[in-house]
Amino acid sequence: MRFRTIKIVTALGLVSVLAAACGSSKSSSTPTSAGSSSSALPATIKIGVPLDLTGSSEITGVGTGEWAGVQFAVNQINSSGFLGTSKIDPVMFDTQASKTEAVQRTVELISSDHVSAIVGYSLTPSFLAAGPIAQKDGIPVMAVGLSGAGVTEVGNYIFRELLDYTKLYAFGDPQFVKATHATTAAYLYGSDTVTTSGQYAARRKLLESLGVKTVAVETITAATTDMQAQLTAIKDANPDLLVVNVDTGQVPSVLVQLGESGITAQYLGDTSLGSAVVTGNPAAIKAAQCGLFTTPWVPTSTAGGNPLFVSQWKAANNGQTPDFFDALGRDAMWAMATAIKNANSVNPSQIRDALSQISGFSGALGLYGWNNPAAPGQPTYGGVNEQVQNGQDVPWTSSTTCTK
Amino acid sequence: MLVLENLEVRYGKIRALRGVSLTVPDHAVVAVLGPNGAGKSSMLKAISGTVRPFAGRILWNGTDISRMAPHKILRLGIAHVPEGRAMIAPLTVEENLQMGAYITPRSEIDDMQDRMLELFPPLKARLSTTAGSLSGGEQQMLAIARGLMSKPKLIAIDEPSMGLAPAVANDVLAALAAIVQTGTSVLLVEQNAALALRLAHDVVVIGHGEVQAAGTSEELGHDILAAYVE
Amino acid sequence: MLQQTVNGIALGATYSLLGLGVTLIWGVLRVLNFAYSQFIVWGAFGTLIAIENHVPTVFAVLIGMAVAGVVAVFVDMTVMQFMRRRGTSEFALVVATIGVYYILSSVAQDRSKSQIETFPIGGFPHGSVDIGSTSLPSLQLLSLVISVAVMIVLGYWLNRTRLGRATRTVAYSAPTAELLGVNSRAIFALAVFVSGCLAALAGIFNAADSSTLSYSDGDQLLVVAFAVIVLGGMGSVKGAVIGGLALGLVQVYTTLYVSGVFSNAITYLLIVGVLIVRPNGLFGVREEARV
Repeated sequence: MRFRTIKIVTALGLVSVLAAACGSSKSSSTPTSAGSSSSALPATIKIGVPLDLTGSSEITGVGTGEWAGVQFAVNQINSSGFLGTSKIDPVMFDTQASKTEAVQRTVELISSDHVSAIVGYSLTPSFLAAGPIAQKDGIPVMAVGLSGAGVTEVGNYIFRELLDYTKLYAFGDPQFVKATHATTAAYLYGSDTVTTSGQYAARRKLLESLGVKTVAVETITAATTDMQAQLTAIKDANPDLLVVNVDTGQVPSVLVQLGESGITAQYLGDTSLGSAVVTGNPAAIKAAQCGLFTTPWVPTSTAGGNPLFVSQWKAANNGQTPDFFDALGRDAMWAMATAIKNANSVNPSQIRDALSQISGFSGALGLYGWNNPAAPGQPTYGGVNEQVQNGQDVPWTSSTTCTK
Repeated sequence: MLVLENLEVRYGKIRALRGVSLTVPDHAVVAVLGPNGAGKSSMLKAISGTVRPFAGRILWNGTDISRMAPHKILRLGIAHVPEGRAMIAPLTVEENLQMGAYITPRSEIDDMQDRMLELFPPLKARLSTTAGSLSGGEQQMLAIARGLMSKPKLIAIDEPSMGLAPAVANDVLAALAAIVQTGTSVLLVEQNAALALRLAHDVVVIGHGEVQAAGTSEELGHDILAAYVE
Repeated sequence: MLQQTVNGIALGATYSLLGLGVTLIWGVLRVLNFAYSQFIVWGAFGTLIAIENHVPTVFAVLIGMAVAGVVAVFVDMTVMQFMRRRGTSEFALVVATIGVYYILSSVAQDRSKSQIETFPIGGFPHGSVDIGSTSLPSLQLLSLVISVAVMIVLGYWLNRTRLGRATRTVAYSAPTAELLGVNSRAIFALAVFVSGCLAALAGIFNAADSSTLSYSDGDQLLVVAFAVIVLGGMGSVKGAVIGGLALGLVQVYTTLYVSGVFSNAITYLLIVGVLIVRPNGLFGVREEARV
């Protein structure tokens, strides 16, 4: 019985790829929808999409990318007939990087818009405030861009598209330490957000357990623009590794000032090194030379449905390469649509059950699912190690060499 | 020649001047006398453009200046030394004089300053003192000197003797007499009638915002002094 | 330690630049102008757009300064002039500047689509200069040099030139200045323009330092600017420079010896302490004698 379910779900996951393959081409025949009748689904399925598009400049580029990805997925789902004649109607709110806004909009989505599910949230603090409301009301949530810990712990209706970054570091950092023979590390992190300070704490614990001694810890806040004092202190400590976890928007600032500081430590960063804010900034990407990071996704990844996603995205966006947030938005919405299709219902609890059974989902982030009973609600994909070399992110292995 | 025609000045509902007409010929000294609150200062403010007349006209050599900005009126040759001296306290005496010469051609400034220091010798030693720390008499001298630095054709001076010891007031008066010799017209507003009559040829008496009497100092002098001296 | 002192001075140099613009506007108009935060942003965006259109960096900086100056003058001649003429209270004027801030901020946010823009720094000095045992990023050295130069030029202008004296006179009493032949409206506009230029300069250096620019970058800088002039003394040119340097040093030392988290809290506590001892700030003068 259980095996059969998994098989069906896998099959449906593949259908999603097929549907995606059809893209927005309208001439394609309506998919045969694997024997399931869409009669149980209403003509319009409302899905709430609360994202942080504006508010703090530190969030910019994140929410807009996620929203673009969500819209991309909705277009594919609706025009391909993936849900038969039913259409997804995304109800979008800009929650402006504000917890109160996130809470208000979530209440509104559930009680006045009567959404069947939520695909949204860009910031862990906003979600941690608003998520419990969805959980209490039994509305399934696919959290799009949260990299902090404690998300799925909110309850069994909460799923996350992006894995907890501490899991990424657990994957990549030991390999980096081994390859660089590092014995000391300095840390620079944003002390005023849960996300970055949590990542710092997890990484420091991890690296110390690997025998890497902490020689300096410096902090910045969202308001910091000049970091010379912190960088001088780090330089004086002369570490082997410089571990940086700050808001994406501040990474160019850190990199540029780091480049002038004369610090030679190996840079261990985070996914922001692959974000457009850094790769599109010539001065920053130059200063990031040889920087290492582990990421759930790179545009060049060949895992799962990524090559197809990238080519479809380019076709739909004048040849522009998608960024990480586009990929997250896209997969999160497709996963929700897949669950709705598998449940053949807009009943929230049935959607929730279907989400927890997804496996073999062929998305931009690989071939994965949410069916790991040891980590409920969490995606099952791993990470990719990358290095910045001459203005580009290239795959990194322990034999990769890099010159500054 | 300055001509006021039925000049009326109002502050809200209060009518400070109710149709004043008078003439200041070239090379003349005209004293405007009258009690406190008679409208004398309002008249000077209207002439210099500091307040806009409610009605009436102010003609300066035939040009209507009644709606001009003060800085433009000064450029036409009318300087106003306001009541209370209007020191620019944080600036030094020299800087105050320089400000007085704001519209004076650069080449003439030094010469003018020398002449002012001759006219008001006490200022010489205090050139680099801030104006705010001068004595009352020195401030009055500076205010008049500053007004003259723009080389006006007419200088309107409001209460130069106010708050001054008689000896100092006499010094100021002597300096004013010297100014008249250079051909500058003076419109002198005073409460100290005796002082004003010593300088002025023509006298206008204002009360309750209206002209109550006008004539030469010989004609009016005796009556006025009788009225003023208790 | 020596290096950190150099860092503090360099940081303080940018702060001084911020303070100079605000102190000028305060000294002449006696209004705390919240829109200043957007003059910073608009000026930097002006430079950004100019650089993107292949204008050489030096000219791009001048363009940015001009943009902020013109925006500042425009705001003053429309909203502020209108309110001043109606005899509005100082408090209402401040609220009006907050309104203007939101308008300018919304426009900048909309035009930049709320994104963090890359600020091209190819044309700015890069690398660092060694001074004895310490080193200072060239960009910060330049901002230090420019702050000092601006202070000297501003000081010379205000104290030694005809127009500068006129500005101080207008600041003291606009009606008196008018009686002396000064077009006080033109002087207001000039002071506001120069203040806008200085805002832009600070914004451009801030953007170059981080190589990024966003519509909200000015907000934090405005708080710094206000802190600088309160510490240094409202309306005092010398105070803005010394206040800026002091603030920079204190922030660096607290970051170093206490924690980056407390650096702001300690800095502002210190300002409160200074104000208790000297209510008019370090170089403050009494109300009747500003600028």
